[in-house]
Amino acid sequence: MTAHPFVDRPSGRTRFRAARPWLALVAVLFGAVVLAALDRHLKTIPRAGFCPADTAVVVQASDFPSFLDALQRTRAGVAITEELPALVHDAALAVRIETGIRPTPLRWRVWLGFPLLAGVREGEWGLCVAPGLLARGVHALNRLVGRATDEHEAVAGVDTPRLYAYGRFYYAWREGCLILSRDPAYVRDALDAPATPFAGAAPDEMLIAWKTDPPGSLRLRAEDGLPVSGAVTAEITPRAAPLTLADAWPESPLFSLTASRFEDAAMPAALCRAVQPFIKGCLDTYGVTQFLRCVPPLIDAWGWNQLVPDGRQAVDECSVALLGLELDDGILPAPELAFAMRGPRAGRDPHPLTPLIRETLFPFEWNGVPGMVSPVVGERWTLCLAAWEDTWLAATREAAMARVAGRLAERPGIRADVAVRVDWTKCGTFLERFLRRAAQLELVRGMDAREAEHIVLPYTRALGRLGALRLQGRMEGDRLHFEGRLAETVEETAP
Amino acid sequence: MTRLLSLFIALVAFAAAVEGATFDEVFGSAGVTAVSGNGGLTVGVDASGRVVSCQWPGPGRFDQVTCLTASDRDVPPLWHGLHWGVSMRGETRWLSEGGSSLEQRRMAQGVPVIITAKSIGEDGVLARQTLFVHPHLDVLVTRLEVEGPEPTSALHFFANFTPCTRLIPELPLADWALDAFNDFAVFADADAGIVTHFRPAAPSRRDWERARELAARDAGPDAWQGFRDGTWIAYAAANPPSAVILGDETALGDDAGLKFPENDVGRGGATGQCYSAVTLTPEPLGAGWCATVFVAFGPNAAETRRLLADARRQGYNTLRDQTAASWSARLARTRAAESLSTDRAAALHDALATLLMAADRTHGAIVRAPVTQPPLALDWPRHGAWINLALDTAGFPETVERHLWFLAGTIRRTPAPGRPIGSLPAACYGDGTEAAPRAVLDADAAAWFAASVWRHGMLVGPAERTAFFESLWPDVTLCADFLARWSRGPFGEPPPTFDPAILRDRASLESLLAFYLGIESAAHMAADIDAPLPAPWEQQQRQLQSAIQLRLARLDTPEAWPMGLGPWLDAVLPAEHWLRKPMRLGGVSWTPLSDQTTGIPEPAPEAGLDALDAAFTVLRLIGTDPRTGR
Repeated sequence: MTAHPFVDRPSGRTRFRAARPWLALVAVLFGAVVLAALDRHLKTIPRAGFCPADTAVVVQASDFPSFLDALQRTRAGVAITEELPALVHDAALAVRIETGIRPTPLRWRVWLGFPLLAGVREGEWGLCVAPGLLARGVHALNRLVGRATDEHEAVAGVDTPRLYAYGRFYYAWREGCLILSRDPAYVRDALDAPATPFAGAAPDEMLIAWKTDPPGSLRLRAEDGLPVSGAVTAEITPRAAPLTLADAWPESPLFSLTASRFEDAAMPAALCRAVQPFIKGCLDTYGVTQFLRCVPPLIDAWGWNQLVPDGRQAVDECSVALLGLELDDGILPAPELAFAMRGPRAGRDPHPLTPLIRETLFPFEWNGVPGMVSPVVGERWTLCLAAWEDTWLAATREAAMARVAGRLAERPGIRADVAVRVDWTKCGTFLERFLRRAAQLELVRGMDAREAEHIVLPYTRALGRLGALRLQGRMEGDRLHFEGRLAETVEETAP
Repeated sequence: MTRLLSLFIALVAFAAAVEGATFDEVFGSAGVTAVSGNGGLTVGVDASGRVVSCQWPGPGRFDQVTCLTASDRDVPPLWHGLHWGVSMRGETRWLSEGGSSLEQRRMAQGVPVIITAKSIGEDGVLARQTLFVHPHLDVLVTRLEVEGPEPTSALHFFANFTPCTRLIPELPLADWALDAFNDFAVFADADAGIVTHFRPAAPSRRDWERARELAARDAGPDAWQGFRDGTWIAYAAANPPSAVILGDETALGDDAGLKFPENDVGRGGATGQCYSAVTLTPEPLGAGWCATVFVAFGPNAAETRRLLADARRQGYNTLRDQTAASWSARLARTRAAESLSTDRAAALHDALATLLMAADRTHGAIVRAPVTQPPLALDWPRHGAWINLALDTAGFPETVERHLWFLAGTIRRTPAPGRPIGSLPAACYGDGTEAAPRAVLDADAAAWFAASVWRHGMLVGPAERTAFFESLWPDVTLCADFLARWSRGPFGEPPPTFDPAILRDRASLESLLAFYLGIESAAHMAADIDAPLPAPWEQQQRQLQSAIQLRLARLDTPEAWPMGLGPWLDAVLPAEHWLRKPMRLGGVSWTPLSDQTTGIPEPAPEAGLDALDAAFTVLRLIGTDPRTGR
C-alpha cells in the first residue's frame, strides 16, 4: 500500500504501540468480566448446602446478603440499630476479629457468596456457604502455610487433607461449598451428610426449621412488619366459625391468646418446650428454679389446681388477655388478667367460672353490665365475673373489669383456629420499669443501677419500638399453619 | 395460660402468717433445730450441727449463708452451709454426712451455747461441736472436739458464706432463695490465717472487674481492702491453717460428696458464688483433739478484722464463759421463775431465750423465728401482741416497748392502693421494710397493735401508764380510725381481710372480734388519758357488737369460736359484758367468754424456735398478769 502524497500515515507498529494502553485496558476489562463471571458461577450452587443430619435448628437463605441488607432497612432493623448501637458494633467487631471480615452485606457477598445454610447443634453452630474467588484464594494461601489438620482422605489417589484450620475455625470444601464451624465434628459430619435442597426462599426471605419438640418451620421476610409464615406440630381445636374475640379487647393487651377451648391455651406452653432446656438452664443458673418450687404447693393450698371449670363445655371461643402489669415498691409485678368467653348459651347460662368462687360474693355492676365480685387477696386480686349478651367475662381486678365490661369491640372475625397478639410497646415499657427496679435491688448481675440504665435498658426500648406481634393459625392435620407479622407498627396497619 | 394465672396469683398471695406446717410444705425447711444469737448476729444449726441459717445484722435481716432445701424432706447438699470435717486414716468425714446424732442441747437452761454431739462412721469416733454467738460482739465461735481410737490428722472447716447486702420489699425470699444474686468474692490472708468473704453494697461492673482481676493474680489481702462498705465476714482459727481452699461453689457438684478441685487449693481469691475451706492442725484436748474457728461480721474490712482480732485474743474459753454469764444474768430477772420446778423453770428460760434472740437489738423488731427457710424471719404484727404479752409478764418491759415503737413506725401514714392509712403491713423485715406482697392486707394487725399497746400500758405501773399511752396516742388514733372506717354493709362489718390459715381474704368471726378488741382497747386508752372518744369509734363499737351478735347466732358449734382472742377480750371487756353471758347455740347453753375460751393456746409440740409458740409457753407457765400470776 502506498502512502497518500499529502498524508503521513503511521506504520502498523506505531499504531500498535499507541493502542497498547487501550489494549491493556480491554484485556483487564475482559479479564475482570471473566473473573466476575467465574466468581458468580462459583457462588451459584444447585443446593442450599450441607449440615449434619442431626442438626437441631437449620437456617437457610438463598441470598443472605440481600436478606441482611433488607432486614437492616426495615423499621424493626432501624429501631434495633438506633437503640442498640453498642450491641451492633460489638457483634460486628467480634465477627471481624474472628474472620478478618467486616460483616456488611456487600462484604459477605464478596467473600462468602449468596446462599447460606447455618445449623445449630448442641450449642455449637456451623455455616455452609458458596464463596467465590477471594475466599478460595485465601484457602490456597492457608494451604501453603500448612494449616491443615491431621485428618486426610484419598482424593483421586492423592492423600488430601479433609479438614483445614483458620483461626479458631475448622473448615472443609464439598462440591463447591465451604463448610465452617468452631466444632470440627460439625464440619466432619456435614461432609458425610446428604445435601440440603433449596426450600424455595426468595432473596429477601430466611427459612428457619427446628427439630426440637414440637418440630416446625418458619419463613421470615425482610420487610416492614416482618411478615412470617410457617407450621408447627400442635393440637389446637379446629373451628369453622371465625374467631371474634381476637381483636375485640377495648385496649391493646400486653398479650392475648384466643382459641376455641381452654385447653388450647396450653399451646404456648407446648411451644415453650422447644426452648425449655435453655429456659431451665437460665433458671438454674440464677437459682430461680428453687424459688419457683414454692409455687405448686401454694397452688395446692389454694385449691387452684383444678382451675379449668366444669362449665367449659359451654364455651366454644375463649380469649385470655394480660391487660397490664403493675409494679410498686417491690419486684413482684401484679398482673391484670381478663378472660372473655363465648358460646351458644353465653350470657344466659351460669358463668363457667362460678366454681372458682370460694368465699364471700358481692353483686356488682360495670358500665351497666351486671356481675359479681369475690375477694381473693386484697384489691389487687379480686375475682370479677360478668355476663352480657353473648359473652361471659372474668377479670382478676375490679378496675380491669371496669375497662372491658360492655366494651368489647364488634369487629369482623378472623378465619383462624388460634390467634396471638403481643403489644411490644407495652411490654417494652413494663420491662424498662421492671429492669430498672431490679437493678436498684441488685438483681441484675454484674452491674449496678446506673450501669444497667446504659447497658440493659436500651434493649427494652428497642423492644418497645417493634410495635406488635399478630399471628393466627389454622390446623391442617397435626400441623398448625400460621401466618402474621412479628413487628407490626401503626404504619403497617394503617389502611 | 391458666397455669400462668396460677403462678402469678400464687406468687403474689404468699402466706403472711401461715401455720408452721403449711409454711414448711410450701417453702421447704432448712431444718433448723437450735439458734444462737445476740439480737444482731443470729445463727441457726440443724441436728448435725451444720450452720444452715445466718442472719446479720439482725434476726430479721439478711441471710449470709447458702443453704437450701427443696422441700421439708430434703437435706441440703454438702456444699451448703458451714460445717466441720474430720480426717482420720486418710479419709475425711463431714459431720453433716451420715453418722448418727447423739444429742443437741444448750449448755445450760436458756443459755444459747449449743452443743451437738454425734458419732462419725462405725468405729467409735465421737465429735462434739460447741457453737455460740457472743452476746455483745458480732462473733460466731465454733469448736469441734474429736475423740476416737485413731489420731485425728486434720480438721476441716467448710464455709459457704453468701454475703447479702439488700432485701427486696414485698418478697422475703431474695436473701436465701436467690443466692445467685448475692455473694461477691473471697480472699485469704495466708500470713494471718484469715479468710474473708465479702460483698460491697450495690457492686458495679467496675467492682466485679477489679475483683476478678485481683483473684486472677492471687493478689494479697491489702489489695482487697479498697472495696466499699457492705457485708464483710472474716474467719480464722485459733492457730493458722495448714491449707486454705477458695473457689467457685458451682464446681463442687451436687450430690457426690465434697471434693475440692485441685486448682482451688492455695488460691489467693475467688469471685462469684464462692466457698472457702481451711484445714487445721488439731490441738490436743484431753483424750482427743480440737480446733476452734472464730467468725466476725462487720460492715467493712477494718471493723471485721478488729472484731476477729479481739475474739482471737480473748480466746474460746473466755468468750464462752462471757456468753453463759451474760445470758444467765439476763434471764435471772425473769419474773416468777423462782416459784417453778426445775424442769418448768428450764422450759421458761429456754422459751424466753428464744424470744430475746428473736428481738432485733437495733430496731426493736421481734421476728416469728430467725430462720429463712421457710421465711419466718419477719415481724408479724398480729403475732407481736402475744410475744409482747409474754415478755411483759416475764419481766422484760423495755423489750416490749421498743417493739411497740417499732410497730408504730410501720403504720401507714400516706395513702396507697392496697395500703390504707392506719393499717400495718402483714409482715416486715427487721428494719421496718414491708415484706409481704402489697396485695396482702392484714387489717387485723392494726387491731392487735392497739390491743398490745393497751395491754402493755396496763402492765406497767400506773405512774408510767398515762405517759406511755400519750406517747403512742397519735399512732393508736391512726389505727383506731382505720378500724372505724374499714367497714361495709349496714352492720359495719369489716370487709374480708387476709386469713393466713387459707391464704386468702375472708370475712371471719375472728376478724370481727379482732376489730372489736382493737376499738375497745383504743377506747380504754382514750379514757385513761382523758381524750374524747371520737364519734366514729363509738359508732363502730355499736356496729361491731351487732355484727358479732349476728355472726354468733349463725355459729353451728362452740368450736367455731376463735380461741386466740378469748384472753384478750377477757382482759379488756367489763365483767358485765354480754359476751360473758350464756347464750343458746345449737340447742346448747354456751358462754363465749368463759374459762374454756380464755385460755392460752397450746404451743406446737416442737416449738423450740417459734417466738409465738415460745410466747404461749411462757404465758402458760407464769400466767398473763404479773399482778395476779393468772
